[in-house]
Amino acid sequence: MAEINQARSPLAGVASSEGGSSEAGIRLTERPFLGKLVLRGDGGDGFLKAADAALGTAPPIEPNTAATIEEVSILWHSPDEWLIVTATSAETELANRLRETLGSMHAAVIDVSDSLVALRLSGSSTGSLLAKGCALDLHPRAFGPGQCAQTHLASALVTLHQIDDTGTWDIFVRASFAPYLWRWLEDASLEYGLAYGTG
Amino acid sequence: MLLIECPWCGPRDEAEFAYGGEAHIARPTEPDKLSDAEWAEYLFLASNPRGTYLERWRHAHGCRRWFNAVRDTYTHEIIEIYAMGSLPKSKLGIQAYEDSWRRGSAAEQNAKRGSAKS
Repeated sequence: MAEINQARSPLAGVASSEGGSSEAGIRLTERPFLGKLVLRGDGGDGFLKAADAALGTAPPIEPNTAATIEEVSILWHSPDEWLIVTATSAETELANRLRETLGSMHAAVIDVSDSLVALRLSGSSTGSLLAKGCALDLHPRAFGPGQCAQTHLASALVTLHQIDDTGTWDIFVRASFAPYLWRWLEDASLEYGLAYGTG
Repeated sequence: MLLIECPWCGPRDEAEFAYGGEAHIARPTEPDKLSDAEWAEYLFLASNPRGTYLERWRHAHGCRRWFNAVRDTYTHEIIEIYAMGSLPKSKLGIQAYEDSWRRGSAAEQNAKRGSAKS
């Protein structure tokens, strides 16, 4: 297994981690090397119970919602599919634990850490920014913290996850689309003022 | 652009969906009992109505689930969304289903005979 210090993000050479406008309406940062798993299963009681035993919480069955427990988020992708986001390098242990509790059930745990890039958007203008590239209604009356959605952002297939009600979002995008989406976000953020890093 | 109500994810942009063609085409279970013409009818003939149409969609860039829709091909109004494996419940949908030339086709009779046996 590769050492973490040899890891190279698909955004290397594209993404900045500091600097930018001092009066920024948007803060953009990569959350590099997070662990990501795809969990598949029938969504029945037995499956949910087994997944709960490994995760500490059951995968959400309400469409477009996410459950977060400590450093692990479980995002609904489909009635039989969830995206699990963990801290860096925590995915292998979690995957093993899931496989153990799921046992011989018709279920699957797949490590997709390297196929998805995680971005963090924050700031007062993220709603307007996302509205420029996403047809989904993300207005507070229709969408709120703890909700997630697979949709299009600037034509790229993404998973959006709203973290809080102050405009913090996580965006998961395929590695090959990440540089494009990063540049699109930079360009679309110009009018609001853009800063990099978590601030 | 259509706004399509995914039964799982809610109203989404048409660009997120893949079109799956006409719904309720039953596959003959005993194809050897069909003539070439009847088999070709099953395989190649699609309805092309100006009006109510029963069709399949898939939320390709979302939950990736299949579902059926009753859509008016002239106004693009989506009259009903219903689950795979079920029949339409709206008046227009039921009418379109019952009036379809497919209901009397040799291929569908063949498919029904097969499923009745098993």
